Amino acid sequence: MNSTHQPGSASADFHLAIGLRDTGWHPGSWFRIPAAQEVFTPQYWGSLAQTAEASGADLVTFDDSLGLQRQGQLDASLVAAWVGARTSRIGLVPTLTTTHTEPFHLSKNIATLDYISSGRAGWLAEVSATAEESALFGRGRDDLDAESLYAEASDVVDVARRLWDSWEDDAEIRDSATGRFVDREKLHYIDYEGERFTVKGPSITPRPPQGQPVVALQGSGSAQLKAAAQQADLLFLSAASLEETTGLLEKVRAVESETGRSGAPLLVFVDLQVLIEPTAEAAQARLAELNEAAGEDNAAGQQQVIGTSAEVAERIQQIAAAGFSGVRLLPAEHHTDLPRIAEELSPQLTEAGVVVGSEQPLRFRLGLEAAPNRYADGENQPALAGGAA
Amino acid sequence: MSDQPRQVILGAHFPGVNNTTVWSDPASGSHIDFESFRKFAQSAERGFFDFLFLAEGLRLREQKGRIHDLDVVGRPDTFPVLAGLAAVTEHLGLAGTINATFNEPYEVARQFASLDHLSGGRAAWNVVTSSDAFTGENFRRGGYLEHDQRYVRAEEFVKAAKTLWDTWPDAAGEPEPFEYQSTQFDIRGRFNVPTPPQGHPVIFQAGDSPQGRDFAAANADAIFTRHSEPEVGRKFYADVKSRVEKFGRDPESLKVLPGISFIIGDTDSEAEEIAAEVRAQQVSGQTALLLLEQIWNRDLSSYDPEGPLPDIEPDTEGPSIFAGRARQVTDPHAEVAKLRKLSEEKGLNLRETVIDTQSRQSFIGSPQTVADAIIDAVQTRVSDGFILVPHITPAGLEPFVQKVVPLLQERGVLRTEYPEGATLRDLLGVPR
Repeated sequence: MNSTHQPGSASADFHLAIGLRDTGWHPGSWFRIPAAQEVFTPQYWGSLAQTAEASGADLVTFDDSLGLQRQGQLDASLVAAWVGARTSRIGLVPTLTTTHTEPFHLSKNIATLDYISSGRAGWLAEVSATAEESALFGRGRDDLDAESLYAEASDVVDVARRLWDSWEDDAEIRDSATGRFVDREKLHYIDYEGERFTVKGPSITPRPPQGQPVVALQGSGSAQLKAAAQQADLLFLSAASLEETTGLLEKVRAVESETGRSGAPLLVFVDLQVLIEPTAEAAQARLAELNEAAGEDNAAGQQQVIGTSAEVAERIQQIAAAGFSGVRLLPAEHHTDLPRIAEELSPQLTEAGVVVGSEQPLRFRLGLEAAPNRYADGENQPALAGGAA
Repeated sequence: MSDQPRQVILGAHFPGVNNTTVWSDPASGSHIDFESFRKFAQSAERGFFDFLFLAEGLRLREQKGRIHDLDVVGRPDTFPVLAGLAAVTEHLGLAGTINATFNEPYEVARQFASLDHLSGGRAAWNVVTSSDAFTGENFRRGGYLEHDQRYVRAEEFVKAAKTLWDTWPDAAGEPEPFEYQSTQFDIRGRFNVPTPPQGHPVIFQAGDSPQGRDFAAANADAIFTRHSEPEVGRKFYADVKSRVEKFGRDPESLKVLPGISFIIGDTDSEAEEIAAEVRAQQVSGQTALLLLEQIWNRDLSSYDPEGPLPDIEPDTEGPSIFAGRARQVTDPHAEVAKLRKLSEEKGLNLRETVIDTQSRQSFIGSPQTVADAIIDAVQTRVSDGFILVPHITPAGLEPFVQKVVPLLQERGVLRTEYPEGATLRDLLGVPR
């Protein structure tokens, strides 16, 4: 049950993710869509997700924040829920932030996405680091430094995970003989008391199909790495070059041992922005157009391939060879680059054995083990992801 | 005015977390799996309903300090379920109950605006508040809200949300900065979702107190009530509509929608038989004891449900033994006396007595009888329509959809197709 891959597959442990954010990752992409309004329609997101699914990618992330980015954005968790009802294979990983939203609400939101998608839910946990976002909630917080925010994020994920386990899988019994719908011995108070908040539990939503939906973090600072090592299954690393990213991977492993992570090591994906054209010249020409539309150069801080699909495929193989678990492709322009990922890049990756699609729950698709329930049998089992006691 | 009969508004309440929902019936499916919600919603849409309605709970109910285990318990999260349903329905309104106490306006406004975009203008929000510390234990602020501040918070919350929805120009563009200050809130910034297709998603309110009625009259587009009986209903209807006028609004801009249970049989007498069976199914021996514990406020687990009523007196001094739902008995001694009299007169044991006190379903009869009753209620202003609460998940709406809906259509009180591109406001006739 723990591996979805065929024996002998050359890259059995390498995975493909696609990151989506409004019109694409290049800021100029906003100015090159037919109508700005389409970004706020479900058809737009459904079509992107179906293209991503057709590419064989294991998962798609939906970028979001509480504050205004560019020209506005819909709530990612609800976009993912809509998409969940219209797709059947791809993992769905929306961004939900931990700084202002109630941990209880976050937990049931992701659990419900897991129900809607039959076990394809993940959560990209982010923080809200700006004073502007605090003002949206009327909260004058003075602890908006990365260390405090990610320490809190770690606690929030910990609580969400406990709430997911707060119903045992077989809690619903429908026992006519005793008139009992649930076995209350299999429902658990989590009684969480942390520095910043307390949560009683149990959840209102039963344990989701995956038991523990996949939790991801992104970033490369030490606060992010620590929180990821403590609570996440997956980390998206952003750095400007493969060398730099490889150096960060060593740091991730060091932080894992410092934090005493138990269970599977973090799956570490590299962020790679892509702009795909048939020739290198055409790619550079489109980049110039995008830069001009945006009125700025794209200083992404991510690795980029501006070139042909063969060049992207080659870079991905280098990333795989460097010991990473996967790559997250960030299309410069959704309209143009996402179909090219599906139609041109994906067949090359499949041929090279880099992409192996399957229809398992997301956990298994990523090679994670089934998640034990920490409350089952009255024993406090360690959480699969690590840190949580 | 034309001679057109008043149109009937129909809502479909996904079966709830209480003993109305009969889980022991073999036809009763999951109330968690998305498939159940999809089937239920599509059933409502086949019946040309105006909207689907979801209730909400934020803490599992308890009795005697333990989680209540006799009824359906647990539910998925309201917002993602409605967003998922937006993907598998085309016309049906999607109404969700969201608590104004344990949420903040920016987030709720954002989620409803997003839902309204994802559904093409079909979102509705049933605004509720709670002040109980019991539920508060699941949230950062705990039970912070004073009981008499509930409607203050609700009203300010809705005003804040409307302020946010109004910050974008209609088409694409950039939002104006907002600022909202009140006794409960002090928020500012820029909202990141364009104005929803409906302008403002439809606002529901469910509350019967004078403050609740005033809140609805001033702020809401529809009021969810329990007054479905003709005499009481007409009085409630007239009262609420006059309050709407008092706030300077068109009385037609607030719809009065009682929640109703229903049983449909081939004939009236068959329906009566089924109705009695369902009432008995809704009250197992354990449920009977539990309902009596809510009156006695005592542990009655040592009593035999098939034996006589408890011979002790209710405890009116001690703290309430149940939590997570509103207390429903105001005079326990009078209630107990009434039950004893009933039991003696009819020779009923404990469980039979409780079954006998269960309210009859609101509408019982043949399809024709039920259709007539509904049409009559709407024409005589008992209500503007009804929210149906079936007792079976997810197929409980089907008998109504298959047998009563065609009769309502024949009589010209229910649409025979959905208008192309209609928003929920269009369906309900409540312009922004």
